[in-house]
Amino acid sequence: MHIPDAFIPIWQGAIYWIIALVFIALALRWARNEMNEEKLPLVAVLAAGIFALQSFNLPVSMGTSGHLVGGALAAIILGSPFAAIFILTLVLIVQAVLFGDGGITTLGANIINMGVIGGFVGYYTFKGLMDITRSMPVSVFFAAWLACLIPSLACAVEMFLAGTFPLMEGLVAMGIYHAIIGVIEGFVTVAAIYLITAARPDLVDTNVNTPAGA
Amino acid sequence: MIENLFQIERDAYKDSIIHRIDARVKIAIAFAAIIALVAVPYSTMIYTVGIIFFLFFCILWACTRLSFVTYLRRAWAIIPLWGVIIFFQIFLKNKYYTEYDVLYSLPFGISIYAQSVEFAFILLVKFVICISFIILLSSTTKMYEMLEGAARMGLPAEFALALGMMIRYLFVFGYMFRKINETLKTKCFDALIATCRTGTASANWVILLALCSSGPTSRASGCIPACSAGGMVGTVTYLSRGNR
Repeated sequence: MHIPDAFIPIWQGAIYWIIALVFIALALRWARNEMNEEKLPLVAVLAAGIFALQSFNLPVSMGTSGHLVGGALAAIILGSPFAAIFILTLVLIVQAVLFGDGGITTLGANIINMGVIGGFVGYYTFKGLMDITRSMPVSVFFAAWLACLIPSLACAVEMFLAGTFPLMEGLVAMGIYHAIIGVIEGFVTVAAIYLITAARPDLVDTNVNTPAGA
Repeated sequence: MIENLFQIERDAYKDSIIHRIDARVKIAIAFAAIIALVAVPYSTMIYTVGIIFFLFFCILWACTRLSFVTYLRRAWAIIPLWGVIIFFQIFLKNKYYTEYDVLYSLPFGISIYAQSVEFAFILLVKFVICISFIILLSSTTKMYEMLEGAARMGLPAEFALALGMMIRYLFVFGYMFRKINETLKTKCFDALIATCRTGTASANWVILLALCSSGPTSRASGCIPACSAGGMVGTVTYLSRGNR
């Protein structure tokens, strides 16, 4: 899902960068207001953990690569979609600058896909489902599944707009592949949140710890 | 990716003219080269521009006193993944050409087009040279220098602080990953080769993440390799192998 350099024309990359910068500014505001000495290590650990989860890349036929995203995990644990944007921005910067996984000119598009779309879809799906189902595992699973699937479809659309990827083939290849990967992401996210809430419930900001979320 | 972390940092700690240049200069050169290459339209003009930039890269790499094999090894870790995607371009029509000439017709109505082959090659040239400059930057700049340079160039303090901590945890994770794999290998189980590698690896990372989150400086992180490799994951995989 990490779009590399050269796959998007420079002017489109610039537009994605401008949009991403708006959200990065909002994520920075979140960090300034919310990130204290207790949360900073958690943010760093989550960023390193998501980096590790994303390390396992698998090629998608006629498309880009497939891997876990982690946007929902960050957003749910830290209780804000802007936390996901902040963390995914860190992860994507390190991946692009150190490892060449994802481009520099396409970093804006990658932040929009995985941080913005992944974070917002994951967080609000979780909130909505928690109100309806009152079940943490079910809500987290579907939130993580959608937060993996929707960014992949956005990636396919961006590649189509760039002219490097046919739309239908892209949507089908990326959609099917990430719908399957999303199941793994769902289980991993449920397990991670369950283990973290069991070990340190005070670190989790969303209401997964309340009786309704238990 | 995370397995290469130690090698990249080892390369960055070597000494050469390029290694001694200020991180900000290297960041600026790498980014400028990438932006310039991406800004070139999808046309055969990229061949000329590409040769010039690649020669520039080769001169810089020669000055690093790092082996060319190091570059090839790192490029090989990145290029095949995207090489597959670039390869598939030869079967696809795109908006950059109006007319297509069929080079080969394959069964099931699949064709290879001359223009698509050209487009795939243009993408490959752009992609490989962009990656080369990233490899040059990361192989010659220590991570803390890069972070310091980025902070001086205007990276917000919140990002710099969190990135600094994240990088430290990456090394902790990398170390644990290596330990777990070594321990699993002693039980004749290679987590990277196994068919269920994503599942196994993900399970390892969930355990790492949860235990690290229980306290960044807690003793829990110290027992992770032992728990996950010798205790939980290791036992499961050992038993499952024994049942085959």
